[in-house]
Amino acid sequence: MKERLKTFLLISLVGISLLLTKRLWMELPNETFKLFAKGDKVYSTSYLLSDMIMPNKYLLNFNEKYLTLFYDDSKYKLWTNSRKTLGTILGSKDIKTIDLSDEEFLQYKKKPSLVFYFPEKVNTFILAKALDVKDPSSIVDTIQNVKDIYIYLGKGDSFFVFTDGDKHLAILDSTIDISHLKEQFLEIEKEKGYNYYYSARDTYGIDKDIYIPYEMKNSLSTVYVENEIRNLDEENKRKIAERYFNKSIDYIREIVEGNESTIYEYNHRVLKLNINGTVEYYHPLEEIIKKRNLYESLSTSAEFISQNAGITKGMYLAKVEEIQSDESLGYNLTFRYRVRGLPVILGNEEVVDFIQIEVFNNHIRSYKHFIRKDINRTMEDLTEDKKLLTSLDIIDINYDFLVGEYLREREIKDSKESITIDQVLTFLDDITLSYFDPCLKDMEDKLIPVWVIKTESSLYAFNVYDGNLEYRRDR
Amino acid sequence: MLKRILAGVFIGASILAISSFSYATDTNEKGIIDKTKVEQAIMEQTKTEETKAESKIESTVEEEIDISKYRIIRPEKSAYTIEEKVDFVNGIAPVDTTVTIEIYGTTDLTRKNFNLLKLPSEDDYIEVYTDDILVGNSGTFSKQLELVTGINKIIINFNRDEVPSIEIIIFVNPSNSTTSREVKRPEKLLEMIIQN
Repeated sequence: MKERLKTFLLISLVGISLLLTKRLWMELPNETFKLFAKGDKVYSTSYLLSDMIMPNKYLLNFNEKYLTLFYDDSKYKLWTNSRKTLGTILGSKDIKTIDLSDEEFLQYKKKPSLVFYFPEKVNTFILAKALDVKDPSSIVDTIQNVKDIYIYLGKGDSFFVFTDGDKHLAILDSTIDISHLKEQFLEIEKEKGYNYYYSARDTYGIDKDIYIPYEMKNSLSTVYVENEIRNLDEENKRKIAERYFNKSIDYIREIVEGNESTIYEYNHRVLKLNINGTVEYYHPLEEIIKKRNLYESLSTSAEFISQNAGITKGMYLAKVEEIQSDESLGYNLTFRYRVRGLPVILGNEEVVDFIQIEVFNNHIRSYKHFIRKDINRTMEDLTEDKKLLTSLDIIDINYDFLVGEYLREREIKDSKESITIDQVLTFLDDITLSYFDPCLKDMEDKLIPVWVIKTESSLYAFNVYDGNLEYRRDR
Repeated sequence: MLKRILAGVFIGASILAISSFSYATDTNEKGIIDKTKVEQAIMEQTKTEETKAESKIESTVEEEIDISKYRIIRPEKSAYTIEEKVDFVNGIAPVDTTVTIEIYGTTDLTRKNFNLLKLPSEDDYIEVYTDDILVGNSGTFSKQLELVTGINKIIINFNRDEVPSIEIIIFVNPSNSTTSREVKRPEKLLEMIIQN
């Protein structure tokens, strides 16, 4: 009887141990899976940053006469194909650098080349990190910010020019092979499916790099967006709150305001889902940050966005501003976004930019996100059957207005008649094809394709089909 | 009595003579001067007006014939060779000018093998297309030209009698392996060929 009892106890122990072991093994992979399920965190910081730091325009100069400009790189992926080479350059210790004068650089610009134009100056160290360079070379100290990157693709050895607008640093590395880029460049030239552009500098002798198309062959997609927040039900809103606080909704305080905006609060952190489509998050500083670090701040922001908003396709870093809150030093980062490769200008007076973050190294103090989702209407994804005006057509149609703005901004009292086209073109800083989001409807709001003209202090959006001024704001 | 009559007549005559003289002098001289002055003034005014009118007319004529305001910026050469079938024209002209661009091509079906040194005759040219461009407020115009293989003649007409039309010869030679190169030749010879 005693033996039987012992056997029974032994069997029970084995059974219990098996059960516990099973639980142990079943739970561990689950936990691991959960980490992946949260998902966006698994992307490395460099991956997130490289998506956020992308050029706005791509100039392909086949020779002095034939040149084109792309706004959307999805077809040729020139940036993606150049990233590895640029990363090697920024990490190489065997490079030779030469400072080019303005005249020398202008001469090289007429040669076969590819130029990447960034929307704003990018810190070279951050660019190196975004390109996954572990130990950046001395280039990051020699030229601290980059506005454009030039790659010479003519006969002989290729070289790179990093420029911030004033300083042009030519970088030579004979060990780097960019034959693949040259081949792709020649293929694009042979395809001929592009719009031909001309340089206003070469044609009218103005001191600005403005490129004007002769004709606009391609059409633009009709894009509809919707306000994501207004169209969310209570359950989905709560899910957003759980994601931001990383806590179950049971621990989060919920307040529904009269205007249907919802506020969530947890442990001094506040999240507000506004009815106008904005998400606002606030987390007061818990300690004084005496030294700001841009790379750490950018990494923190990238992780925060990826965890909470998901990876927003087409998002790019548009502006970096230094800020101070009491004694703490940080950054105000502005992100904007592209739809179908074109930048989007928001026509909402309350929200100028897509994402604004106040970040103090590893701490996000405030975050504001205006979510307008491309609803990808495939059935309605028709291109407008109307001819696109060129940027010169836009200038022609709005010439008197632009002259008036020129006189106003420059505080000149001359008559309008005395102003020449050269003066007007010199007044313009940039002309870019974009989409304008009027932000009028919560659902199925149609984006308006526009030519965006930027001057020193203003931004104007003109309709690409009729030239009408759709929007104007200070820069 | 006679003495009194004579004295009276003399005095009367003198009074009359003196008064008439003074009257005549005053009236006539002043009148003549005034008349002359007025006439001169009128003539001067007329002259000034005429001069003004003339200068106005002259300036209008000058404006009309200021050919420097009608210019082709690109291409800079009047004859050249390219490999591609696309080329461009950029220019300036006063607002509201209609610029007509005529493009003529030739085919080498006749195996005449035209090139810049052996240009086709007028009869060999076939009109490819004609385009009118209305110059906008910026006072500039640009045009992408779709060309044909071989010799292309481009005639740019500003539709103003005073402004001569511009003729450009573009030889599209896709077989040309080197990058677009211009054939250097004496300007005089070139002008002769174009005139012919």
